[in-house]
Amino acid sequence: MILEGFLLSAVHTLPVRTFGSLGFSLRVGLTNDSQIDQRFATDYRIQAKVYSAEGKEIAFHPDLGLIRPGEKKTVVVDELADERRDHLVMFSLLPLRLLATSEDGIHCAISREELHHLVSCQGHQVEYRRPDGYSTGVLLAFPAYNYTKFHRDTPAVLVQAPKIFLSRDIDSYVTLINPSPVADYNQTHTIACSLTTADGAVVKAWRESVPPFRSVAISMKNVLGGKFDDRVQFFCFSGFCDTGLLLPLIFSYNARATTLAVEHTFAPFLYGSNLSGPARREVDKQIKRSRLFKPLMR
Amino acid sequence: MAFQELRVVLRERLPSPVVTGLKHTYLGLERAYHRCRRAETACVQTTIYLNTTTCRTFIGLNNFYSWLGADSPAQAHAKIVFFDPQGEILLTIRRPLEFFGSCVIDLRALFEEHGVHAEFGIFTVAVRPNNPWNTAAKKIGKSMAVFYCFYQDDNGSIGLIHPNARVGDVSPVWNWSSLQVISTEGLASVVLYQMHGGNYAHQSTYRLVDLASGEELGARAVEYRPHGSAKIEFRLDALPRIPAELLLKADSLPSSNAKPLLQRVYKNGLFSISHS
Repeated sequence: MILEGFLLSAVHTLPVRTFGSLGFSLRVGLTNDSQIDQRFATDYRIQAKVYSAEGKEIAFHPDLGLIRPGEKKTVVVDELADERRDHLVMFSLLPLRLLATSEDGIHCAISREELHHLVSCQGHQVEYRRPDGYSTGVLLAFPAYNYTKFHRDTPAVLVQAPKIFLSRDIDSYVTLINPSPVADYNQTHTIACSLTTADGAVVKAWRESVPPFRSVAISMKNVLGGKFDDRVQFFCFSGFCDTGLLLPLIFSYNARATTLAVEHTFAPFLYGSNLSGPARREVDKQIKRSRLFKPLMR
Repeated sequence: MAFQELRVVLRERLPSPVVTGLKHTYLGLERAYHRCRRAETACVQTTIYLNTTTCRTFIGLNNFYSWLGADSPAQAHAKIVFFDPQGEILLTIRRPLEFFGSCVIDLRALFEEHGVHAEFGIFTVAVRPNNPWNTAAKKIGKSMAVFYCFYQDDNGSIGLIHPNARVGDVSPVWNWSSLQVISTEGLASVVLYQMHGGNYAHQSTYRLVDLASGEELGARAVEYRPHGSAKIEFRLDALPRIPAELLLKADSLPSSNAKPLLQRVYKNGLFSISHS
């Protein structure tokens, strides 16, 4: 199946948030493994758009260099944005082989097979760094979010995160990004959130709105309130939104040592071999009316 | 147990000709039930635990059947098996998971309670519904338990990772190259924790190379026993020179998607951990 009029900038995207508010700068290591299937091997041109904390586009970098098949390239995001504030940076890897076939230099025709290959064959390194060199990071690979050419149905996001560890020194930040490759994208998405204890009891439930091109960071200690001692306390974070896609990442942060750890979550289809199409939609229907989220749904 | 109770109830409540008539139906149901219990409905995943005098591991997991089939209240259980670096089983535990429940395991406390010890090794996690006929479980198909490890060191270092290697029907991966570019600023050593989810012996050779030139700066060959693991350290002061950026490569990884954990250890003693 050929997708006509597909945005070149949506073929391979990487939305990342900076964390200057915690004293970290950001570096990304971008990889081009398109040659794994020689039919689809392509050079990539790196582009980046920088959005302010308010979701306004404040900079566009149309050419940050070229990555050839089999190569890696590091981009220091400090040089793209004021690192003292938290920004959203939308990287796009522009496939030059498809750009050469484009009539307007903006759109292309691409098969689902090629799109799937280019999205899934590689991961990128997102690395948060302190001035003394200490760094921590995560490997990420995402398709374009909130782009109707890619998602035929209205997609939903279901987050299961049994990884909220809190203590006197340690906080967990649930970060949610509302990205899109579409320049005039303007949808705010609201996600129902809950924190549960090990026995399944809901200790906190709330709604979080994420405007377009914004990234929110929610401190779980602020959500729960109260004081924590040295003993590590554990919670499971859950989130559900059925109006569009939000990208969740969970950060652990040790305020005493100024150390950070970050990990992504897994979509439902990665938990079960049958969970796509109608089965996934049934999952969403059921979770929406579950005791975790029913009081929050409108 | 359910079938034995059913048999007693039927014998007590029904006329004996009916009980005799139902005998074959009952035996067929019992066979199907046991076949279903034996069928592998869950992929088993693994990663590395750390358990040194300063570093501890917390494992977080949940009853994902609840999230993926919220209309069918399913209780589940997690079976967790801990191995030492030689691949010997140290401990097997089972934890109940309530509907929408989760579970945290403090590995240091667990090992102390059971009188076992290893500084690192792999552990495997499988989450299965208590009732394999649960509607949600059947709809999910073959499941994969996603869990998370939180590493915490006394010096303030932390790490958060998901499992990445499978156990069981796996095979080696050849000519592996890490996705991570390792900046050497402030770095004292690069440590790899390699997990092996396969039931066979294997040898891998790891190479640390200069990203810019591709020059090999260090190499280590490691042998693995089934379900074994290894700690592989490259001290930067032992390298012939220290370039700005390093890349890790290996002639093979012992099993599918078993990318080693990458621990960056800094000169101030802090470390970070991530997938490589």
